[in-house]
Amino acid sequence: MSEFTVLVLRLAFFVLLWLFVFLIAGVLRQDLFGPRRSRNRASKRGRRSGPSPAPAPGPAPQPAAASHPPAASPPHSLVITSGAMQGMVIALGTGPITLGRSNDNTVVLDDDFASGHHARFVPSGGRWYVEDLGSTNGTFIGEQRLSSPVPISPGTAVTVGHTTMELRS
Amino acid sequence: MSYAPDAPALSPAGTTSQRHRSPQALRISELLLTALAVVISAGAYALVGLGSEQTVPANVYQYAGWLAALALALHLIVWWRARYADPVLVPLAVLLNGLGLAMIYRIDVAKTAAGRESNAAVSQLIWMTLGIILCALVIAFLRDHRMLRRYTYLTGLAALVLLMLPLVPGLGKTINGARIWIGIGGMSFQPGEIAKICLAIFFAGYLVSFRDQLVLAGPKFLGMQFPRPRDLGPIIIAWIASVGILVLQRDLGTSLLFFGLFVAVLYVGTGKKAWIFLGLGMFTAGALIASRIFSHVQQRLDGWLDALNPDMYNREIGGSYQLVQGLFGMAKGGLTGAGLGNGRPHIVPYAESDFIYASLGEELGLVGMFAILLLYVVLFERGMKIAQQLRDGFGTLLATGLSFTIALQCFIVIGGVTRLIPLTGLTTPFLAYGGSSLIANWIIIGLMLRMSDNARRPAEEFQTGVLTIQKPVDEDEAHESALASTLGRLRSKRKVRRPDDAPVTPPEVYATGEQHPTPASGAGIDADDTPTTNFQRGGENQ
Repeated sequence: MSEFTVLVLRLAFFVLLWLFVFLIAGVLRQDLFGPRRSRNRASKRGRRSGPSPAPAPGPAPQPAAASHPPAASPPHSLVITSGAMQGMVIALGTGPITLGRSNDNTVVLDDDFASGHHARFVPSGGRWYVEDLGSTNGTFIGEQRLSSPVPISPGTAVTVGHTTMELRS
Repeated sequence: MSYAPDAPALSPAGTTSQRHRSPQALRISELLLTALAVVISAGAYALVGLGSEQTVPANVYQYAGWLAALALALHLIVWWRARYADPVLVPLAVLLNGLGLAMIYRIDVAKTAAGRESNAAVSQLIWMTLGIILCALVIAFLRDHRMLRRYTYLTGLAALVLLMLPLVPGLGKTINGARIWIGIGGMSFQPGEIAKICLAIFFAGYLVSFRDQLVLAGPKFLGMQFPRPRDLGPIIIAWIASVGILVLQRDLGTSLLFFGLFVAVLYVGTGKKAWIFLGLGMFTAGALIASRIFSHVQQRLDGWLDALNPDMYNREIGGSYQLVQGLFGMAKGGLTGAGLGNGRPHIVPYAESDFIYASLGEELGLVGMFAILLLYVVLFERGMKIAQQLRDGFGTLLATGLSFTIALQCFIVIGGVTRLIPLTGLTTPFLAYGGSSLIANWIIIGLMLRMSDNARRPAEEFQTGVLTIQKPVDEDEAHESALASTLGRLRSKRKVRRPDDAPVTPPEVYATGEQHPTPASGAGIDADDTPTTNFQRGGENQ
């Protein structure tokens, strides 16, 4: 094989190697910013999901609201806003989410003031309910200790032990 | 758990986007990337032949087919058992392993041409096969990484035994001054590599239970809160252990790796920077003292600081010949390298293991070295991302520990080869020739895949799917405890004794159990898992 062919093959090898690196970077980008949508909407959403602690209930004039209604949509994540696990985000699905210190919970709380199986979030009829599972120290919404399942809306702080969390839409 | 204060800002976007990506999309991108990785690896193999012998190696199709079969098998196992797992881990590991194989083959060719028969590439391929099988087994049989937490102390003990094995007379072997090998039959194995994984599990399990004490602040010094003196116990023990490795096994790299692993997990567990400074200080002090007492540490330091001195270069034992030859090779490589098969990397001693990064640098140049370095960076980033996404503290610490071992190992080896830090003998993960290290790293990839699958799995599937193994066990324990309490009551009333082999029949227990309390939700179930439970249980029993 001629020297030139080998040289071309070598360059092709570098191209493939770096192509791999950039493809991986593409996967990482999707992880950080979400899948690519049409450009201007993507940038708007990127800014919206910024650090604002109170979930700004959607910049009202959202032209794409019909196809993607963010404000009216049901909550899709449970965010731990204070306590040892601050910053953790749990994606909500269609099933209940259990909280507690025990290892078989959906969210294993790292909180000495939480019980083994402390509380759970249950979806029902398009709403999410929070229910105390007979915990020692109770589950609170504000100062109110829960005695029965209570429907909650995004932004309502729920306290378990030393951990506070809320739903976000 | 220490989440950086800015973590909330980042994570919503991250988790939200994963919600939109179906597992199929993840797996398809994994498949494509893996295919590309196999193509690049096989291409490297063919180029080695072209460069060194002017023909493509005869068995290139068998080789490529074998790589592809391995990668595809692993991919299918992941699709079957860990659908939500991170899509870039498998391609990264396959590519790094494939590049390493091509380079090892290249050194083989050169050695054989020089009259020294060498078949390292074949045995590396066998080890790779074994490693991928073990990785697949981890994914298939470990359905939930949280099960590992139950064996915290068992793995700690196992790590200790594995570390001690090379010191057993008759079993241990001293190779190149380091006593970190055991010989079984004709084969050598480095148990320390497996111990690395065991230690990561042990540190994660231990610190997730005890970090609360370690967070308590002590005296303030230099603007930092240092821990209370009596909380220094664990770090001192880890320090003594790593100094022990340094002294008894004469291996600076392993010693640094284990201590660094502990400090990293400690830092992530407690979120206190003081531990890092404390750890760095302790290690520096230990290494300085060791360099005064032990000649081999001092030689390493001299060879690093004064590498280009001819005296140093020509010294028989502990000289800088290897390091400097590696540097020359990389310098010869320049920007784009001599081309695979065209350099002379085999001049460097251990060109296929310790110095494989320098060998790659000579033949692929800076362009190739940076690509490889980026692969490692991405691998580490994925590990930290998994740690951040995980919903339990143990998993977070374990993922941190495992990915940090890979990163630290890269830093120690590549830093040593490029003369940034003193040279120590460690293997470059996935690239370097060495079965024990390869197997250990594939197991780490298996654990990471398992953890990332758990981290990304939607909550409802997580509950019904993954915990099927764990749930029945817990229920059994619940039955057992219910049974025990009932029996206790029966025993006190009627003096009935259950024979040890009597079948446990929970329904009957519950039938009699009008008066006995059903196991309160979780009150007793996790009691033995978390030491902090005693406090909690006291509360619940009131």
